Amino acid sequence: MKTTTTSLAAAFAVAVLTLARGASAQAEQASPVAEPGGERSAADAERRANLDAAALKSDGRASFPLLGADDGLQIEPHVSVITQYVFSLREEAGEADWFHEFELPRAFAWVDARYEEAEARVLLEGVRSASEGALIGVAGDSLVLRLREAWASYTAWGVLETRVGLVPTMSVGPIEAMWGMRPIHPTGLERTGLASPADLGGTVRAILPRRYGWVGVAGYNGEGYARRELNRGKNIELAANLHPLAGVRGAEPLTAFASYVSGSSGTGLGRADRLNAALGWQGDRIRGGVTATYALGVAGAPETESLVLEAFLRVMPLERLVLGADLLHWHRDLSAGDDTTLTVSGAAGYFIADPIAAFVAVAGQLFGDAARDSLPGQDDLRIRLIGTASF
Amino acid sequence: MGPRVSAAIQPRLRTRAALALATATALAGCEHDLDPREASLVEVIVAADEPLLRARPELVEGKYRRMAAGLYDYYRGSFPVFLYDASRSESGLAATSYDAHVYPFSSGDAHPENFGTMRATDGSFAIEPNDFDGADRYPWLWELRRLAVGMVLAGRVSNPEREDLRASVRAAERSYALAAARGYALELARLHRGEAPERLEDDRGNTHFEDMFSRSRRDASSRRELAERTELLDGRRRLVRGAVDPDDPESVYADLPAFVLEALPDCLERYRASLHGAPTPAYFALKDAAREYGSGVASYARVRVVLLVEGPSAEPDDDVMLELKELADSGAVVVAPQGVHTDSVQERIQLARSLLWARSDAEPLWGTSELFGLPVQIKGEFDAYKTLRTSRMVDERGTPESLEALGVELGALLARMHAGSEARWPGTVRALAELSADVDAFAAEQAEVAIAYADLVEADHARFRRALERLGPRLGLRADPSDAPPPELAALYGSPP
Repeated sequence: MKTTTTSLAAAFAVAVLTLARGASAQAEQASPVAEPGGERSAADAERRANLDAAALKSDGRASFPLLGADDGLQIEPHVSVITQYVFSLREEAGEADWFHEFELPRAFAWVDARYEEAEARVLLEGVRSASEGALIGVAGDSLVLRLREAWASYTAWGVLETRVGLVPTMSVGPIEAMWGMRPIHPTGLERTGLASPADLGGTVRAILPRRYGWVGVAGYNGEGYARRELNRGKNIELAANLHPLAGVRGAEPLTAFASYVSGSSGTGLGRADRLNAALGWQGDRIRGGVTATYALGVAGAPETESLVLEAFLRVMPLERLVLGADLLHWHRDLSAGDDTTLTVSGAAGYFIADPIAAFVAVAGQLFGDAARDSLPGQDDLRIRLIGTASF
Repeated sequence: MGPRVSAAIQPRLRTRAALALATATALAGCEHDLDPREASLVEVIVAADEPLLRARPELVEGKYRRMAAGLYDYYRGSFPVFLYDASRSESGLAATSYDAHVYPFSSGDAHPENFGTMRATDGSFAIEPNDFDGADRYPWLWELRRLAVGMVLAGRVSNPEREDLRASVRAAERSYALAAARGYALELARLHRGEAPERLEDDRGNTHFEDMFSRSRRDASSRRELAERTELLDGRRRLVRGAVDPDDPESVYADLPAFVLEALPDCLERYRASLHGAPTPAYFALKDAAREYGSGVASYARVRVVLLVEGPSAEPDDDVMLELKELADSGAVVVAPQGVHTDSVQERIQLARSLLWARSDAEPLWGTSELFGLPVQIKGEFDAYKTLRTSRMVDERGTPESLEALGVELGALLARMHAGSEARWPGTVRALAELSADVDAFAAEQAEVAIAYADLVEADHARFRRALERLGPRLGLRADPSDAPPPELAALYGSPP
């Protein structure tokens, strides 16, 4: 199985190179989704879609070059902050138990540097120094900065992009871009812990001609960006993010995504494979889609099979007004019929200024019997007031 | 490769083929030679121990050796696996028809060897929980199951010299798993009726308790710890160095670095402040201290220091030994309600002291402090404090009847511990009593799960041993020189002799 995967990866890489050569003449095109700074290459636009600051609103990035001009070295600093007040409710000991607190789910600061076809990014994120439930952290349980991304890339012939370092993985970003409401929550893929948004390794992506999207192959450590490598196995990811109707006027935003990750985890080399598929519409006013993830090997159990199904919709019925809804079904263990969770969330937001928005979000959860027994302490209802800014 | 390939080229091709195969293997990770459950055990245990495995691998190797050596020690050292199984559906540990969503603050790891005698301020002995390393808020049912599974496993390792008796104990194991659950439910019902919690200060006709209390009283008067683990030199008492337990060659006292010795008085002063009705500072004047190796199972790799302090008078005969132990996070996050419930590890221990014991001065020298930034717990180190040991479950203490009686008592004691949360989370006793009100059905479910999970633990023990053989003494975690702690910290961690 694994050797077959390696062979597939090699064949896929050859195909990518072939495609890339054929596509080089048509490289300088805009993405089917209007992206800020759209005058740059399609590769650049696709790259930006992986970082959701741009995906939050289709025309809302406000950054500025510190150095250089159009053809020289450019250095751009950015920040993205999501902060929220949370009121949560759960049943405990037969009685309702509630809690409320302020949280900082995201604090990003990053710098992009570009020179011709070379690019680099260093992205810092704020996190609690102790993991959830722990008391021992850095200086109590302070919020500290850590590296989320640190990579260098070069785009050959304008279409073949290679990144190395602490790179974004290829599945989370595109699905998040379809959802387009990252301030409300990450994708189901990330919330269930089945994928890490970044890892140490490298990615190679070929930007397809005529705005058809990209295909890519990647190799990572596989433990995610928050843990050290524990084994000799490396994760291999194959992914394609396509706009199959890019040539049809008005249908350009239709997006199909698929990826396969052959992975391992822990020193025992437990299997951790993922198969993802998504179909969505990535328009300016309407975004939405459905995704499915099949996982073999979950949370250290190499034979456990898990399934995540998610459907989401984001609309902008009026200028500056955003409405969103998300339905996440997680069958944690397919061999247990009732080991399931269903999370329903809805949100409404308003862009006070282009980079600044406020949301109110409500989420509720339903559990199958097995999941309820083995997932104690989960909130039944969460109401949040969210503020976000991205520059 | 055919015959036309020259002999000189063939080795090169073989080398290339081998390299290609190694590369493919490395990339795709096709070394899955552990069975799936073995891989799970390894991943969970390594994840729980990773910081220790990196910074003090020799000590963790000792822990794994101890876990491999005996079934019950494996159970003691594999609490993270128990919590992992409780948070998933695969093992069946979390299967229940009762609501698990009540979270009393408790020791979390209430297996039989985490109970023992201790002496209160008035000199009276009682049996209490004596390990708060994992104390936190847990789903009530999981901890009762931890106890019931521990009872079943204790029976399975009882009477090591008498196979016939051990077999009869095993045949009756359902009875003492049932007894633990029944004892728990009946005690909750009693407390819910408003009757007072009881302190276990006499043997109640229980052979195990009788054994513990009688040995406690014997060694309290003889101060055996001073006789066996200290020596008088020129009228001044000091701790011995070297092996201190003839039955356990790994149990060793060793010299501490000078900088640690210098830091201990301040550590003791902070500790004194954490005690209720603390003795005078002169009581804690430090006379000697030694690094202790080879103690415990789950906490085997933690820093332990034995302290010899002045005690009530300047006479050497009433010197007092204390044990300082490094603390860590509880690990309850896997199953606990979201959030943290105390401000610090030390406060977590102090809360356990006030909620879980029948009286808060059950062990008046049990306190907390900090040493070089490490949270630590300090308590009296008296031979008079007797922990319930499976190794003593032999002959009349290893019969099905004696284990059943023990199950009833420990189940009731756990119920009293959970009821201690009523003071902080009102409604706890009512909720627990209502949930376990159908005593027979409730106990039957717990017994079934306990026996099934004990079977899994027994199989896991064999898997763990195999994994150690295949992956090495650090369960495959690759040594990295950059993980080595700075010299001072390395000296504090120590290196087992």
